[in-house]
Amino acid sequence: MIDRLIRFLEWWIPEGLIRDGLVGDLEERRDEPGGGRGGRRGDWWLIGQLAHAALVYAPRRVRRAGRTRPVRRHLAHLARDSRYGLRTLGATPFTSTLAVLTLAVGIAMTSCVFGIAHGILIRPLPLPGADRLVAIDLLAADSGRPVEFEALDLRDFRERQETFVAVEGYFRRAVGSTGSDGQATSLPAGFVTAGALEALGARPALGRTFAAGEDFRDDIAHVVIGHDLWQRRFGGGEDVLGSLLDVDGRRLAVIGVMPPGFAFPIEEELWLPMDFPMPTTDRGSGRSFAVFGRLAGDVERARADVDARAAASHIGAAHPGDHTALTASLSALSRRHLPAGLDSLLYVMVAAVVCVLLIAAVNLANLLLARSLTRRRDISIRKALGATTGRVGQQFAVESAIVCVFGTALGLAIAIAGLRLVDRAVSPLDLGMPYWVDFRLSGSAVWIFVAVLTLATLAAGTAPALRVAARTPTTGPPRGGLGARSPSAGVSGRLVSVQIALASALLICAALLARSVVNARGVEKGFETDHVVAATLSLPEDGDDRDPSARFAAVLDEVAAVPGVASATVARGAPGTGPTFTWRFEVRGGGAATPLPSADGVPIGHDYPATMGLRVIRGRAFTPTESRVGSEPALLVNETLARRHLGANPVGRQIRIGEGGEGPWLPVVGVVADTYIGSRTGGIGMSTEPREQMYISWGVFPYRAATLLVRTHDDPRGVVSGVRSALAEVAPGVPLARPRVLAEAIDESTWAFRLFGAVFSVFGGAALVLTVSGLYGVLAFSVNRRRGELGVRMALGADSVRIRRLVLVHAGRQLLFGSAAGALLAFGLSSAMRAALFGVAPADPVVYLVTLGAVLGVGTLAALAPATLATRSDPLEALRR
Amino acid sequence: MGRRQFPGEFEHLVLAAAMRVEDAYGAALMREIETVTGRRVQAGSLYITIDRLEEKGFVTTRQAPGDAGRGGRPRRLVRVEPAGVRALARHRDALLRMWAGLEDVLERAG
Repeated sequence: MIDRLIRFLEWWIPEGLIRDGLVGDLEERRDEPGGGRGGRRGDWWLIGQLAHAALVYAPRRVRRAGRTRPVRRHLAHLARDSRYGLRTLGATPFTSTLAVLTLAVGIAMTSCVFGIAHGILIRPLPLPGADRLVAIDLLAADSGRPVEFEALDLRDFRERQETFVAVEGYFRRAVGSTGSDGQATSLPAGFVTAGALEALGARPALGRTFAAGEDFRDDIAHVVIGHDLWQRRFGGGEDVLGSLLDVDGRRLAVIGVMPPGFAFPIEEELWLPMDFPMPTTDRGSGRSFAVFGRLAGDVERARADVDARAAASHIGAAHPGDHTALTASLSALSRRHLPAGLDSLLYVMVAAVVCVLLIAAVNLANLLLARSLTRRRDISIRKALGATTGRVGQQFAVESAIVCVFGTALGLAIAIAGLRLVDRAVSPLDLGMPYWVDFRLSGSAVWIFVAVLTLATLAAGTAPALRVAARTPTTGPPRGGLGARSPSAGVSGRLVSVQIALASALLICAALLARSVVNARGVEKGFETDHVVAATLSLPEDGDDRDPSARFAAVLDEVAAVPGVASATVARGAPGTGPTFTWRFEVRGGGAATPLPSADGVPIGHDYPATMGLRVIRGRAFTPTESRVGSEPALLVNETLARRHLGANPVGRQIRIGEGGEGPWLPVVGVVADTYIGSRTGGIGMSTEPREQMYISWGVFPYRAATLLVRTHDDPRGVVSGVRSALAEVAPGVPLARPRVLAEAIDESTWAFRLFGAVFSVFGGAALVLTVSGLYGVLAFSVNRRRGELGVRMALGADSVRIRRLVLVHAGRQLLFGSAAGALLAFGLSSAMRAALFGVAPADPVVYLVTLGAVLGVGTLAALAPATLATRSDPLEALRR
Repeated sequence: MGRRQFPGEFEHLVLAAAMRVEDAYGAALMREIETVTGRRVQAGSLYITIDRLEEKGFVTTRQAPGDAGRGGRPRRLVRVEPAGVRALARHRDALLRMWAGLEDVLERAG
């Protein structure tokens, strides 16, 4: 095999001294340390060198081959066919342009969508051996609910498992860092177990990663930084190792620099070891993290699944009091950080684009089929003059190839431009997409589409001509004939029905998504966000021994005094600012429902209703003391929760959060309006159903990180610098991270509707145009072919109304059949993309009827022109042909 | 002076290497360029460059017997002709004139 490859490569190099000398030189250097380095490596080195030489010398070989007789004759034929082909294509500019455009649109759309899908779903993590990396999640064995992975669980899991070479953990947290200019900035940081970076297969560009024993301790001393931070803070100097970096008030020594493009897991700029001690006995410490493993060399996934489940069940068995029985699930690490629901949407998009591709291919086939059939005379004249069937075939193949070349070039250009557009539209949005997701053409997929469409074009353009040529006797041009239909006309008709079905389905999906966008825009939020700025605050562990709520209170007092600020508050999981908590709860005296009901929970400071414009309907809002740790806890609930669970007098009832049956009973002090809270994943999908919501007073949990919400009197952007300096005053070193206007943040959370709505509208529009032009083309062609028959009918007394009806009924049958099938297909597609629909059912009858009506209308219009053409058939002329 | 007469950068390296080594055949030239400049040399590039230099009349090549290390294949020996030496000298002159006054900057950057 290798020998044959080597001989093939050698063949391109001119024989004689050049070939012998070159191959001898390579043989001589195959085992040298500076050359091929021997063995297997030497073989590949030799092949690489030979391939390069073959490439360099190939033009010479081709030039020389061009001088031999048969090749020259072929080239001459090809040149003549190309010239003639260009001329004949130019003679029917409409059909030719249509064919090129159809091909271009087919290639562009499929490449674009596969570029997007490939970027998100298929491309592996950009790490060596990424296919051996799996995400490990713990689940409760009975309910399948996710259970948090804690340090002790990790220790036990590591001891029990046998199929991983490494099991490591990480979590993300923004840290504050003060640079040499005294400015505190917020940096996204990854906290990792000591072996995590190494297990990912990521080698530092400089220095080292963490050593065993550096994690799970309070007194961490080292930090690994990313390439960008290295350039920005340290000017990219090699002497960075050992320099100190301020992280949340701690001075950490830089021990390594990661290579450019590494930002695991999402967009991290620096990595620290887990900075808390391994708990000694009890679980539920609240410190949990994400876990992944690297599979050992030859272990299959199925075996690892079994092993992981066994190891997880052991965690539960050893500590029955702490946990319910546990099990584990493995999944691809690359999928862990993608918004929920995104993959099913992408699959729908791929299905949609395959529809477009099919429509384009059918159209192309119809166009070329029609073309080659109308050129029967041309073919028979050529044969009469002595052309072989092969030569006739070559002529048609060359013409199709010209269409392919133009179509492919145009299509790829559109695809590249389109993807750049998508990338530019999506990347400024704060979607929390992992660093390795980007949208570009995926080479192999594109070549597959180009190859498929090219083959289809060549086949559709050449095969009919070959058939005609093989059957045509060489006696002279045939007559037109009266034949009403040929088998291929029937094929075209059926293909058109398929097209109509696909186009209807796409248009229905597009209309559903358009409805969703309109619905999402008009949703009653229940609060007012135009004058609210949101930013993230996180308090460093810097030895300030006041409790976090006291420090936040000090910050809020200072911020509220900034000119232009109306009020300020803290919250976690407020709309548009990140994922919301879900809590199970129990109502005192409400009976024990199983499972317990759940509600979205938002811890808030006392000024939250005033800042967000949230209406308090009954009872009261929180008091300033309730925002402090150590105060009496209190709850606000929304109307839906009150109505469903608390009866007529909700204020004063008591609620317990959690399933353990142990926590304190919290009194409900007020009822607030229902609000739209966005999605829990922070990405795609919203619910129009009002959900149970509760607001818990800030003093209950001593959070160190919070969203700062500031209501302003006028332009919200104007106060950011004032807030920043107020913060520097009262809490130096705490950065104001990602300040933005809340209304804009919430708008961005609807990106999925807009992106997918736009994509489907383009697909649907293109599909409709392609289908209509295909319908028109096929009808016009069949009318043209049936001229004889129609002429006879008219000669026998049929009037123009009858003739028109004849054609329209023929088209109507295809339209009706096609759109009915399309409705069914659309129902399948829209059910799969339920996640992206908002306030509209996948089977919404209005959307279906309106869309199908439009398809039928446009289709009828397209059929009218050929029908009118049919009435102009002159019986005499028809019979003369 | 036509453009043809001026050797390109890689041609320049090959010419110089052929003058430096005693037995100037392919493998020896590759080794020389790789050790002196630190960059990897593709055999194909080297050979087609030698062909080009030969067309310009800068070098001539002839066959020399090979040994067992190269499977008995002959070696292609390169000899630099006077025209090649002159071209190299002109190239050097042009560069030196261009560099005049830049030595400090170049020294520091290197």
